[in-house]
Amino acid sequence: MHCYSEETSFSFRAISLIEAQSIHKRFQSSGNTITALESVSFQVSAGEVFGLLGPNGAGKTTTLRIVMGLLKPDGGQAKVDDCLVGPDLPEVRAKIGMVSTNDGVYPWLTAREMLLYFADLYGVGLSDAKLRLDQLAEQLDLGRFLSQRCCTLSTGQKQRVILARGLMHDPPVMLLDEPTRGLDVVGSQTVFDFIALLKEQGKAVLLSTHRLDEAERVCDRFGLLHRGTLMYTGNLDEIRRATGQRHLTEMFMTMMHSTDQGSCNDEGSNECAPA
Amino acid sequence: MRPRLSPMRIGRLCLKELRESLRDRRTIVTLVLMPLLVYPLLSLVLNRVLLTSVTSKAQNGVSIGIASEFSDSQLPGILRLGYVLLQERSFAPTFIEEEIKDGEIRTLENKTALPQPVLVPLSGQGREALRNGVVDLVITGQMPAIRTSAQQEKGVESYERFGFFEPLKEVEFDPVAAKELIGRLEVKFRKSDGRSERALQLLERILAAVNNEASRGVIGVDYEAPFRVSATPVVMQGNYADLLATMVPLVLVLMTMAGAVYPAIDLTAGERERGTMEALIVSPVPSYALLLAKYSAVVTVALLTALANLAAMSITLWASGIGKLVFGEGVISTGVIGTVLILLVLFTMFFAALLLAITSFAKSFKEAQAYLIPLMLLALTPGVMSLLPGIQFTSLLATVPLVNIVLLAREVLNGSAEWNTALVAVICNGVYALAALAVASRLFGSDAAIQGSREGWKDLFSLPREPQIFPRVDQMALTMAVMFPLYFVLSSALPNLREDLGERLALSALVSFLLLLGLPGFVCLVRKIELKPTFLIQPGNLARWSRWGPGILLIAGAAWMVAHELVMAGQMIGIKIDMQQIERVSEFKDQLQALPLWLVLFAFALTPAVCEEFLFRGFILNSLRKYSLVWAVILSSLMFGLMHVLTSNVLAVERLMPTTFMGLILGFVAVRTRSILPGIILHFLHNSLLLSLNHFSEELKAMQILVEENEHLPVEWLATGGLALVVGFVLIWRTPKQLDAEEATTDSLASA
Repeated sequence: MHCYSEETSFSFRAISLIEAQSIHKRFQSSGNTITALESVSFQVSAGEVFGLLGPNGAGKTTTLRIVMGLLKPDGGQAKVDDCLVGPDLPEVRAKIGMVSTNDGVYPWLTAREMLLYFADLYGVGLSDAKLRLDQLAEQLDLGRFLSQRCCTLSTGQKQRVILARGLMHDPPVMLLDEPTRGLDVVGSQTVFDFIALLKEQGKAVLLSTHRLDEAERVCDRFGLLHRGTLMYTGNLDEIRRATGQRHLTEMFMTMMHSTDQGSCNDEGSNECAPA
Repeated sequence: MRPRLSPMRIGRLCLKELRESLRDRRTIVTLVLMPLLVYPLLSLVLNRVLLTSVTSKAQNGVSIGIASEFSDSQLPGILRLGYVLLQERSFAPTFIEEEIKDGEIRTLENKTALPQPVLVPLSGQGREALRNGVVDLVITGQMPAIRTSAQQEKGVESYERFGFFEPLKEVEFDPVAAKELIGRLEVKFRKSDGRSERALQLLERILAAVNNEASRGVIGVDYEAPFRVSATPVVMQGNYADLLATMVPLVLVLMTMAGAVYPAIDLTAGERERGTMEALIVSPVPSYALLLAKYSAVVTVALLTALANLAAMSITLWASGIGKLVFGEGVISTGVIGTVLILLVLFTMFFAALLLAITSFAKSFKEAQAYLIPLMLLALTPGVMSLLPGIQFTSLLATVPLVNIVLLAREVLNGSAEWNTALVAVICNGVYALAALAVASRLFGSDAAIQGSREGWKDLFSLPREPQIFPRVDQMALTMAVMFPLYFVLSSALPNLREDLGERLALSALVSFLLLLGLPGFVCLVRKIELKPTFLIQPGNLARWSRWGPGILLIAGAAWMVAHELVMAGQMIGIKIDMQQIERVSEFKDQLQALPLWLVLFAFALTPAVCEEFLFRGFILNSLRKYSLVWAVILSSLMFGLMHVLTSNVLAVERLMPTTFMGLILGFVAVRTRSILPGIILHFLHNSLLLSLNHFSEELKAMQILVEENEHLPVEWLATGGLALVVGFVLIWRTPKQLDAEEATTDSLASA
């Protein structure tokens, strides 16, 4: 569905499902203005996992919220599947699936009731929703506990229900906000499998995390966010070349060190253009 | 693919919320367990209170009050004599009549079973003493009245002040003087009260014994007629009935509140705490629909609580006999319970909205509870205040939330509810509910609500950064929630402030300008809402006025006929105009005739035309227009009609239809012309026409032009009027082509 007709001036890939174009965001806090995001631009294509990396407070969640239309940017714009976030908000939201760390379940509903409820929120018809539910139950191994009330589920089971919830309406775009935070090895592995599944289904995945080792495993491209500025974007090789470091962790330390020195303040000076 | 919000879908959303709430054990506790526990306990306490206060001082006997009329008479002596006679078994009379009626013969029980009568001299008629349970029976008078005593019924009953247990004067029993009392004694007793009925029975027996004795010639000579008793039951509607009639709704309201609190917190702050809120908010369903679903669930659960409580309370009152004791037989009918239930529904709709407005920005259960405890305490204060004796249900109190419903329910239980105040209470409640709901939906959807910061409230009160073209619905609802009660209270208080009619009119015009015009204007200035589009400030040009002008004139000249016929139609379907009100109105009209015409026109044509057009066709209509233009016109005219039903102290139901009709016309004119001015002129002309007709009614009647108030207009008039209306509509509806094109550009400018 086409909902925004303006010609896109530049496009690096054929199908860019998420586009952030020089987004600025400032917060007012007790009289002070804090710049949360400064000219953040990136694209995520179908079948690609883009990792938004950065320490706590770098602006990862803010970026995700702006893409989802929960926050209004002070400058720049975000597009999801060519729909401008803002005027086309309901359309945009229907195209996005969202799973974040803090997500929970309804304790008194059964897993099936909860998933069908969310399908209904997204306007999926009941028969379609049931088909989708069967499909997801198989993919995420939910079958055993679908008719249990969520309060009786184990943490891992709850997590899988939450992941399934984000996919009930089969969105082309998936936003994952720190999906592995607080999970054990098995839980994290479930998330990785889930991300692999998303990739396989050709969805554009925007993943925010501060776990760099994990990011290296699952992401195709990265955006290194520090103090509201996207310092580097590109795949691992490109960033390695740009920073001269091998691992993300080391890159991060250099990056943070260099900003502290004040040598990296020129906007976009260190940005590497994607190939 | 924007999913449509069909009623079915909203229903499904509600169902989920309801399911979630009702499966929660904590909801069930308030729903079932509380009423099961509270009412039996309450009835125990009530029983205790009522019984100790109703029980007379004579613990083992019954007390018979003797009205002041008999203070110097032989009556106490006669009663004592009769009691002594009863005590002696040989003289004890048998109650043959009663026993034949029952179909079996019963002898009088053991004489110890006779209650001991205590004679209590009362000053006055003893009604209070009977009601308060100081005495169980009062002998109030005698038929035929032998004495016309001056001391009778003088002043207040003073049994309290002078002490009612001072011993009766021992008067030497004088058979001749006692003869004066022969005849029928008037007696009052409490209806459906065991003690009182026993006292009556005892009195009858005493007098029967005396009669028995008299017939044997012991008392005296010339004995013709026996003593008889004519008993009047008094239905207890005194203080206790009042107290209970207030307490019943208050307890119900408080329990309903308790029932609503948990689901309200659970479905908002609870949702946030569980981490399901964000997923809800990011779904394409607009947040107001989600809130509506939650609201319906809270209202439903609260109503279930109310029903459970009402049932438990009815059963308790019935089973414990308190209801019968206090209200008498048949007072608590299904109709009364139904009305109380409807009032509870209204209250619940308001309170649930208020709760959601507060819990919508709490980030956790604890925080929500911290906010709600002060609210509950705040609610308790006016509630307890309404328990105080002597609180009247005034029009001022009818605008106070919670108090109005409790007091209205009291009036309903007492059977003394009045339509006027009832409607004010109901409308105020509705307006408050809408305002609270509007605020709630605003807070619920705000991004601050998801992050859980306190920005929600700040957002509501902080000064806006960007200007806004039209007011939002929540801003309109809040404005109305402030304006309506204020306007009502002020306009009903005005007649008491000034005697002079002219000054009163000037003051009421001032109130109109300040509230109807000033308040929306103030809101627009503070919230940076653009005045021009909101109030349709656009003069129009000559080309437009060449069509608008004649159109307005035609409509203004004809609309009153339709309005008149609508009043008549209203009367046909049963909307009767109160006779008292007709008198008041005609009296008022006479007063108006004495005033200069310009003043009348200023107060009743210009002021309402300007104020009401800016408010209803400007502020209100434009706050609703983004949803549907047609509904915006209909809703704003309904509000216009309702506001006119309640102006001043009278309830003018018959004005609803014609005023709403005028509102529709004016709304149409405002929407079509996109200018406030034609509406103002039309409104002014319409009112002026009616006022001038009234002003010159004598002259016109003399010329045989004017018809009487409640007659149909001649058919020719109606035909002409109808034609004029249609032509007027067409003139305003069809604007020339080049104007349409011009409008299209201004439209796109406005929407940009």
